[in-house]
Amino acid sequence: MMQQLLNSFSRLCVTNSRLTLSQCLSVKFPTLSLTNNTQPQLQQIRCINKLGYLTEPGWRNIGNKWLVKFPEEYTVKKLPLMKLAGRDPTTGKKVYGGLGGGHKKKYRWVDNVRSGPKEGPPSVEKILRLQYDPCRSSKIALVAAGDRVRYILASSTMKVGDLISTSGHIPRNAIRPKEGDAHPLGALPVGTEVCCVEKFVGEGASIALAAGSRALLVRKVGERCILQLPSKQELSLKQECMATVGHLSNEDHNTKHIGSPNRLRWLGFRPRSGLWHRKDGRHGRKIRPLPPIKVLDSRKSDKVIELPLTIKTFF
Amino acid sequence: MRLTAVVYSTHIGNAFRQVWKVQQKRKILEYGVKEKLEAKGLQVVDAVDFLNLKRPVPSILPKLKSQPDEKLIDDFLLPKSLKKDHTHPDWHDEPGHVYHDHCWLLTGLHEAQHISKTFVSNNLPDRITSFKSKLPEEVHKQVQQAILNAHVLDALQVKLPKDIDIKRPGWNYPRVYGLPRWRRNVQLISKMFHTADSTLAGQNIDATQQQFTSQIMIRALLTLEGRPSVFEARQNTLVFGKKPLQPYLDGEVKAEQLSKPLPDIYPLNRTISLHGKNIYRMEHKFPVRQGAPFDRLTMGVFYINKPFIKTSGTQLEARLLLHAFTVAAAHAQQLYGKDVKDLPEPVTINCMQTDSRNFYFACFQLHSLDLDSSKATSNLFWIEDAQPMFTKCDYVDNQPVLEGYNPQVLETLMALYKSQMAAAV
Repeated sequence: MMQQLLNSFSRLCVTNSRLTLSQCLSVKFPTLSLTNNTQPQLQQIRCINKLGYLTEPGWRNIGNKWLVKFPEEYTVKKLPLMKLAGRDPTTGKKVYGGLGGGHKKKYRWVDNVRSGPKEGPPSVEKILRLQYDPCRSSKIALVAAGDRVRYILASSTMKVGDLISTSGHIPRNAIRPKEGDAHPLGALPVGTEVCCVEKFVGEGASIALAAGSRALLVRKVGERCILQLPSKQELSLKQECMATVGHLSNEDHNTKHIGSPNRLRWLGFRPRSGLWHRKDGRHGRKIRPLPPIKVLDSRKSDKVIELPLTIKTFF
Repeated sequence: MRLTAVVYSTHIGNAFRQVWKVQQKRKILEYGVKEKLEAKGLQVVDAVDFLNLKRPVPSILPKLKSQPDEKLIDDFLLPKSLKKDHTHPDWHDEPGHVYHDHCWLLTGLHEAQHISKTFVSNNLPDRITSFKSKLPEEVHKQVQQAILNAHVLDALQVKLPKDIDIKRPGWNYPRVYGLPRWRRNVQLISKMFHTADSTLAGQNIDATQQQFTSQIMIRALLTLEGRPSVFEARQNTLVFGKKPLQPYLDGEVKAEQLSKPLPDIYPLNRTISLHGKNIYRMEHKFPVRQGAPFDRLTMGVFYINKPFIKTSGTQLEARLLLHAFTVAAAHAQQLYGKDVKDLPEPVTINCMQTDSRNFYFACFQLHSLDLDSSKATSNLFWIEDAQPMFTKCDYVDNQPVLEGYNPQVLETLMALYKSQMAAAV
């Protein structure tokens, strides 16, 4: 028994390459086959680079849902997209379930940064088109000014041909805002509904980006503005953070009925397990006070830079 | 020998990688060294900037010789595509504006007016409408037969592009074999001109005083906003005669038209749809040499060959205007030299655009090629609304059917054609 085992090991060790191994096996263990495939099949040449994201530059993951290839310069062209089905792009392991399949999509690069001049007249853009975007719930608007065309998220009152303005000026008294315009939080009156709010100055909007969502400017304390998020939690932000006045388009998105389990698959979701119960478990009803106000970007110094070191091991 | 001893031994590579995973990220903390050094008058430079590198240096380790070469095919066997960078033969360091057949202006006609400095009237000139007359029934019957031949009865069968329904995205329709668009356009237009020739023969007008070219690249090189700009048109049929067309407007009336302001396109720049590109050809192209027997351009027919185009507003009218401008500019550059700005005599052409269902008729009068001049307008353009040739042309119960034929289309074409002939005599 032991001898056989050792023999098998030795055979594997001697024959390293795939070609010779298959020949050895066919000699030692002859099998009956209808076709005479004595020639071992060589490695196939791949015409499509399916793992392009490992070799080509520009592939960036959006969560664990998609991989999108971004060009070097901003463009309004549709970008190629690969589905990740909830897998981590580097390790390939499942991070969250319930995703997979769905209709083919193309990604639209939406510019979330709306920065305007701090002095003088505001920068003005014209809305050329309002259109559907498969990768997000709200509608997107194609806006243009000068020689620059870009996509932004469309607020509920935007119409084709409208002019929207963006200003970075914070006056002493609060302004009377127009819906669709972008201002720093410090310029807006208390009680304004805002969407597409920045967390950190100049980094682009990351609060209230879903269809119909809005945040409320509750109060101002010194040079900070306190915002009530759609989840009712309160957040303290710098007054220079930009925000769009109003709420986002496609308000009745949450009331639209999916209709059939198969439509859920077209949208890229897998069947639910049926284990989730609304009234019990960790998602069940509980009455708790809201967490305390979260203060963002209160550091005075710059961020700590992390420099990753790379190494190629030959093991 | 115990097998287990070998199996349980630590894989040094894996162990190293685990340690590396933890320790690879190094936090750079600030201890105020930079300020202290600068206070002493020492210059501090970032190491990455100093080495002129964009990312941290990867460690260089010797490659194992036992590793097999991964390449299965030599490089010279693989087809090489031209890289779109400075190694491209048509690369220019200065980006230029390029207009071509597949350019669609974002806001339509207003933008095209600003690019070409053109005033637009919504009717055809009086000289052409005076030539409009009713045609006999037989001629219209011939054209109806030509429409059926071009749309339904042609024997060419090609696999057509995938059908798209915007209300049912992703729905795979069966692939249809049929007539491609370019074939339909060319067939119908050639038949229409043939019918026009034969009817003119009965009215003692010599229709042989002209020649046609088709599908030839035309390129005009101009300067727009201080940048080199290239205007190209390929999907066309051009008509050449012996004498040039007389200008439609002259004198005070022309000056009055040209003094009117252009429509406002604030806050857009006029070059917003013509993106700056580094790869373009700086080579003037025109199909007929000067001094040839038929060297005067009289008419341009432009085709829309691409199926399923999404257009809105006045984008199609804008395409016709810029195509007419391209052709007229290339002709003017051939006549008066490549550096000409204000033309000694205006170049006048008639033009038409079609997808073999809708027809756009227009006239263009070119006075100046100076697109950066201080003048608001310098050229003139007359355009009529789109005229549908028919409402339905298809097989119904295996029978070819043509419904809702519009005789206006042929009569307008005849009026344009006759005006050219009258000028040639």
